Amino acid sequence: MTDAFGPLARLGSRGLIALALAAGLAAGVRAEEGEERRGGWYPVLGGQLAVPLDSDLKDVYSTGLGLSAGMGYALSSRWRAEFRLDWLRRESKLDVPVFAESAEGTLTLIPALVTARYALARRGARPYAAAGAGLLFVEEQIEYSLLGHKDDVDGRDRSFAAQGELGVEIPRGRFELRLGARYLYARDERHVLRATGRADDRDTDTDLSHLTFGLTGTYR
Amino acid sequence: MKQSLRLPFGLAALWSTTLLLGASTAIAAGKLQPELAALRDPAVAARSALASRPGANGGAGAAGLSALSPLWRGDRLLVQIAPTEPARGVTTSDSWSAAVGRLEAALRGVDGVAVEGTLESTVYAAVSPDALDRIAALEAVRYVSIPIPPRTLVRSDAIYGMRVPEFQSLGYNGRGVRIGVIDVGFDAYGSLLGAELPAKVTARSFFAGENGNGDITGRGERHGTACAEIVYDVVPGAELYLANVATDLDLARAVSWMIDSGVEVISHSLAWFIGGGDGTGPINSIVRRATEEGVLFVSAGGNFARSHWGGTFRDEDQDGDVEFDLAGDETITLPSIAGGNTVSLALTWDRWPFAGDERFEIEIRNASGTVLATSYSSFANSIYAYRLLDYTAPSGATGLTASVVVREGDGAGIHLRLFLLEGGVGDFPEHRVAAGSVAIPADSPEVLSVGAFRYNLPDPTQEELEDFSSFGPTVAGVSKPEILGPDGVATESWPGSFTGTSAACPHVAGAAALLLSASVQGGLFDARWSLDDLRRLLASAALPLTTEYPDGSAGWGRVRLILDRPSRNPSPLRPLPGLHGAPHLRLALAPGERAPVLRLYDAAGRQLETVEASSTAPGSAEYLADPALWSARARGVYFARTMAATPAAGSEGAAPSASTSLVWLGAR
Repeated sequence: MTDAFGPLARLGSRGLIALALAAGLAAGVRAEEGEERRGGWYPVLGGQLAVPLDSDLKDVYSTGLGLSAGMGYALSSRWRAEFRLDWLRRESKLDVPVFAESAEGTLTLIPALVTARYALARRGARPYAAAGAGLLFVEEQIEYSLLGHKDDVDGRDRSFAAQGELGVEIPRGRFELRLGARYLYARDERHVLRATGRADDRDTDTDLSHLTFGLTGTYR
Repeated sequence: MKQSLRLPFGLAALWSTTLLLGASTAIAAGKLQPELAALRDPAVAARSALASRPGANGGAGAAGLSALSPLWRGDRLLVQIAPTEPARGVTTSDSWSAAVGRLEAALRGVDGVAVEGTLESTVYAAVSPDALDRIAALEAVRYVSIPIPPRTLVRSDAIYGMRVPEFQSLGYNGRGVRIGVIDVGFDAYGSLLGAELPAKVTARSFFAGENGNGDITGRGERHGTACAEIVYDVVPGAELYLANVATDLDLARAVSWMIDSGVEVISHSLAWFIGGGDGTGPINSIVRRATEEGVLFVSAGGNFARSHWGGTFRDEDQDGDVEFDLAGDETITLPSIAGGNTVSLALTWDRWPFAGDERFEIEIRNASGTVLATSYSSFANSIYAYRLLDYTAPSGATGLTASVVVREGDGAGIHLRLFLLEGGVGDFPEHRVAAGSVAIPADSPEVLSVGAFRYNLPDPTQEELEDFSSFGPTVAGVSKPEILGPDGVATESWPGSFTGTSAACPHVAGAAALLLSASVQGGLFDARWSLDDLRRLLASAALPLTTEYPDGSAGWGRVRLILDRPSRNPSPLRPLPGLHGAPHLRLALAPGERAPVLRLYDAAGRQLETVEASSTAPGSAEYLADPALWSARARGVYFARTMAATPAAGSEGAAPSASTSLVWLGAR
C-alpha cells in the first residue's frame, strides 16, 4: 500500500512543500470567484497522506494514511480558528537481531492541535497559510517472535507539537474543499518499553516530524 | 584460591562474646541487644561514632564498635526495632502491619529518635545512644537490635568463552541499557573511570547514609569495584549504576533508587542470612518488587556447597541438641583455627517474618564439651529466625565443634540451615550437605541465580564446576542455580584471581544487559525482551558442562551469548497458544538410545514434574505429563531437561541434542 506513494516520498520534504505551494497557487489563480464566507461554526473532515521527513521515524516507518476530524469557527472572511484531531497510522516490519524471528510495529499518531488560518484572498479559490500548536499522542505496538514464542508490547506517550500549513481552499456552495501540505513538528524522548508496560525515558530525543498532504472538506 | 567469603568490616567483634561480659543482668533480661546496651556508656558511644567517620580506622579502644560504623548517622545509630504485639506465633501480615504502625507512632514521640523506615515487620530508626533506654521503656517495643550486613562472595578474560566479542560484532554493546551493581563497597572506583570502568557512572551510597550520601567505599571494600569492572568488560556500552549497602533497609533503598532510575538489570554478588531459604524473608520481598517492575535481579548463588549443613529438625534423644545425621551425631567438628582467627557461623530456619514459638541457638564447644561461645548471648530476645556467632580463638584451637540447640518450641517440621561463613578456617569437614546450600536471595524463584565454573579458555571441555558453588533445591523445592558464570578472572581492582559466585554473577548480569540492548527498536519505543525472554535466550545458548558435577548443580550450563537462530525446536519449550492441560511431548532418539527421563521446569526454575516415557517407538519416545499437576497452567514458558534413565552424577543436561529434538504434540 505504501509503495504507491514512493515517488512522492522520494521528492523529499522541500520538494513536496514546493509542489503543494505550486498546486495551491495554480488552483487559486484558476478558481472562480466565490461568495464571501459567513461567520459561525463548521465541521471539518478529511483524509491525508503522511510522509516521514528526514527524521528518526523515517528509518523505521514508511508513508501512511490518516483521517482528520474537527470543528472550526470563522472569525472573519479571512481568519478562522480550528481544532483538529488527526489519526495517522503506519505499519512496518522492524529490524530484529539475528537470533529472533520477526517483529512488526504499528505506530499511531494523533495530533490534537488548535490552528489559526488566514486566507490570502477574500473570494474564489484562495491560497491560505495556517499555524498551530497542541499535543501529539503517540501509540506504538510492537509484536515480535523470539525462539518460537510470540509476544507484544504497547507503549504510549504524548509530546508538544507544532505545525505550519500551506494550501488552497476551493468553495463549492456550502461545501469547501481544501488541499494542503502540512509540516508537523514534534520531538519526544526515546523510551525503553518493558513487558510489564513500564516505559522509561532515555536521554536521546526522537524526531517525530513529518509532512502530510491532505484533502479536507468543510460544510457551512 | 582466595577465601570464598570476606568480612566487609570488622563484624567479628560485633558479635563477639567479650562485649557481653560487662552487660548487667538487667540488660540481659531487657529489650536491648547486649552490644547496644554497651553503647549507653557515653565514652563507648563516642568512640564508636568516631570510628565511623570516613578515614577512621577504629582507633584505640574502639575495637568491636567500629563494626557498627556503617550504621552511624552522625551521632545516631541505626537500629531495628520489633513490636511487642501481636503475640508470638501470630504471623498474619495484617496483624503485624498494624503492630508496626503502632510502634512507629510510639517511636515518633521519643526524643533522639528518627524513624527511617519500615520493612516487613520491623521499624528502622536512627537513635542517639542516650535514647536507647527510652526506647526500651516503651510498651510497644519488644526488642531493639543491630541490623546485620550482607557477606561478599569473593572467590575477570572469560568474556571470550561467553562469545561477547562475537555478540558485540553484531552491533550490540549495551547502549541504552542501564545496569546496576549492588555491593558493600566500591573503593577506588573513581580512579578506574574511563579505563576499567565507563567514563561516567552514577553512584549512590546507602552505606552509613540515609539519603544515598554515605561512604561509597564501604570502608575500603573493593569487592563491588571488581564486580563493576566485570560488568563493564561484558557490556561496555551500558550505563552503570552503583550502590553500596550495609543493611537490608539499605538494600531496599538501593533497589528502589535503581528502579526509579530505570535500571533494567541488577547484579548482586552478596549473600544474606535473613530468610528461610524458601524464598521468604525481607530480602526476597525486595527482590520481588524489582521483578514486578520488570528488573532482572541476578544474584550470586553462594559459595557454601562445602560449608553448609541443612536438614529438618531432628532430636531423637530429646536432649535439645539438633542431630545432624541419622546416627544421632549432634556436633560438627570445625576446622582448626589459628590464634587470633575467627570462625563465623550463621543459622537460619524457615519461619518468617518471625521465628514464632521456635528458638534455636548456635554453640561452639571445645573438645571436652564446654561451651565457649553461644549465639544466645547476642540473640536472647531476638524474634528473628536467624542467628550469627563469631568466635575468635585466643590461641590456636583444634577439636572445636559446632552444635545447634533448641531452646524453645518442639522444632517439629522446621528446616534448619547452618553455614560456616569465613575466617580462613576452611570447610565443614563433616556433615557437609551441598544440596540446598544456595544463599539468600538466590533462593528466590524471581532471582536469576548464578553458580560458578572455573573458566579454561584454552580447553573449555575441561571447565569444571567450582566445588564450593552452592546449589539447590531450595527449601521450597526450587531448582537453583539457573546458570553458571565464569570465575577465576583477574581485574584491576582484584589482582590475581577473583574467584567465587561473586565473580560469576556480573558476567551473567552483563550478558543479560547485552541481550537487552539487542531488543527490537521501534519508532519511539525500544521494546525490551521480557524477563521470560531473557531466561529463554540464556537457556537456549548455555553450554552444558562436560565434566562431572552433582545432579542439579549446573542449571542450564555455562553462560554464553546466542549468535544465531536455533534451527530446530529448542529447549526451552512453550505450550501451544491456548493450551490447557498437561503437555504431550515427543522426543527424537538416536539409534540405540534409551528413552531418558524428562524434567519439566517453569520459567522460574521450579521443577514441576519428572516424567518417564509413556511409550516408545524406533527413533522416538512420547511423554504424557500428569494432568493433575497441569490443570491450572495455561500460559507461560516451560523448560525441559533430559536425564539419563538411570540417573548418574553429571548426567543431567548432558544430552543437548536430545533436548533440542523435543516437540510439543498437544495437551490432554
